[in-house]
Amino acid sequence: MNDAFSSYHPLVNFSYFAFIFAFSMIFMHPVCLGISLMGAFIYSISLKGRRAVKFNFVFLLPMMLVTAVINPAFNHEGATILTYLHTGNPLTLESITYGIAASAMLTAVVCWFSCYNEVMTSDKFVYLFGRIIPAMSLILSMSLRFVPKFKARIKEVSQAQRCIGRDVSNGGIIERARHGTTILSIMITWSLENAIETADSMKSRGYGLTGRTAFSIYRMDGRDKKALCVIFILGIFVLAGGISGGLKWRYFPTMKGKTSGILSASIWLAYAGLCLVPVIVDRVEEHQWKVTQSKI
Amino acid sequence: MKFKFTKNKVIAALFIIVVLAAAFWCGGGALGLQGWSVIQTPKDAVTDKNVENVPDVEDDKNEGGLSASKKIELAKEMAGGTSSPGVEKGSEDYSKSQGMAIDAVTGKDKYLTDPVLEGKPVPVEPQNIENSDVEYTCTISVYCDTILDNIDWLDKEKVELVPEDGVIFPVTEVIFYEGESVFNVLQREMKKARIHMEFSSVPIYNSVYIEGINNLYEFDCGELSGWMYKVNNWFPNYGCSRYGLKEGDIVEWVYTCDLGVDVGGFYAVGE
Repeated sequence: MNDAFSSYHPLVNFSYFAFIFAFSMIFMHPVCLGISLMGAFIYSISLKGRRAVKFNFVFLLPMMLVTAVINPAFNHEGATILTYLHTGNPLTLESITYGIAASAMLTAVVCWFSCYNEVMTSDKFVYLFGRIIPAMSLILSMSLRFVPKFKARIKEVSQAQRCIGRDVSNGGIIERARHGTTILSIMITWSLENAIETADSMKSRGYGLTGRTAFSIYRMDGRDKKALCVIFILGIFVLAGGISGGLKWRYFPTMKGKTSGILSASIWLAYAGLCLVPVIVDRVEEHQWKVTQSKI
Repeated sequence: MKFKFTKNKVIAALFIIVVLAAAFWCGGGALGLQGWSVIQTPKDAVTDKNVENVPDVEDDKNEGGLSASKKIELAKEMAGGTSSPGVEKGSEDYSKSQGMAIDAVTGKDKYLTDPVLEGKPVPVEPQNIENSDVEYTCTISVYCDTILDNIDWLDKEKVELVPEDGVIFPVTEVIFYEGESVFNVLQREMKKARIHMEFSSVPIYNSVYIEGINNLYEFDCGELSGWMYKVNNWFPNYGCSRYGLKEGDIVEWVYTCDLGVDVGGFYAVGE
């Protein structure tokens, strides 16, 4: 992986994402949502390149539009009436903006999670939580890995089946359906069996027993401590600002909230900084690499 | 595998409990302010006599903190155990003579409406009504002055919506067309005056339910609050889209903060 932030200590990665998820889900202020959404898009693209561009614009953007439209169809609260729907209820500006805000939040969180999956691999997660909550962290890392793994395996199975002419792309429509169900049944058998096998093999290796140590290649460096400090300072600053009311915003019945002021501006700046920590780290590291290279 | 309490495990458990408690508190769950509204199923309505005997616009919501029957008990306490003056039980014989089909077992019609007070119009079903262009006039007004007495109960964000005198729509003589209901007139006038109004259809009562007018919604001023209507000083015991208007009717929409006690439309159980 060529992302510098991913090579940091798991604690740094995890606390970063913990702050980001919490803030993305708590703060409904439009500027915060915008910052979070932009940050998620930038980081996912810098992390995954073209794959992320495709995911963001083909899947996330349409999802955002659909969820934004759903709210005003069911929620008619708000003082600014734009027009009336055919059911007779009003269509209000507030319900539209609230729909956009809610969908931006959803999109940002989904996008952040796609980054999280890339950075917080299951070994990192188990490293962090394996001692405290062994069973839980095993289940969590297994279930979080389930969908990507399932997708990878379904490809494998379908390729194997194609070799013997039994893939969903072979034969007529009934044949195809039959092949599809066979593949699905193979998949489910495999996944269930694999889950039990994983648990058994972990147990037989003494996973979670007291006194058992685990090998890990993670070390808390100076650079990790520095990054952790920056993340915590920014995170606590944003949190404190949020609690003290610097990010107040209400959508109903009329939209009102803090749109200016030094406090709000500084919180936004800190929040944007927090969102961009991995990207900045990555750029700085790349720059350093180039500089040292040219010196040699 | 034997389960052992280690220091880390206890800390983790405590941490999870604290986070959940904080989430519950911040989500408003602790105060039971806003939550799911559940429409009473017909079965409940038949078996639970208590629930059915309140004024119709109020009884079909069962919200977060208090159950429907708890709310009625509360309101009854406030009203001193009796219905508001002038609110009486309907007459079954009269309602039948007016063409209301009352079920012998439940004592209600098929939309769960109790018999209507003698001398008052029985509900008409909107789907059976033929409209025409013949014009009539009626009077309509929308008041929320009861909120002024309970302003500290009101949702803080909505205080600015309450007019100083509590008049959202003053007493106005308006035109309606033959076959129209109270709801049709309210909807038209609110639209004309650019006043916000939201409603939802409730199929089991075959009527609409007015959720909010001027962004003042049900439950905004305490758990017993919501919109009620009266025609010629009588609170009908059925929904506003089933009340067929007549020439000269006086329609008043009022906001109640305690299930009708403050506006004189509370129907106590067992009278």
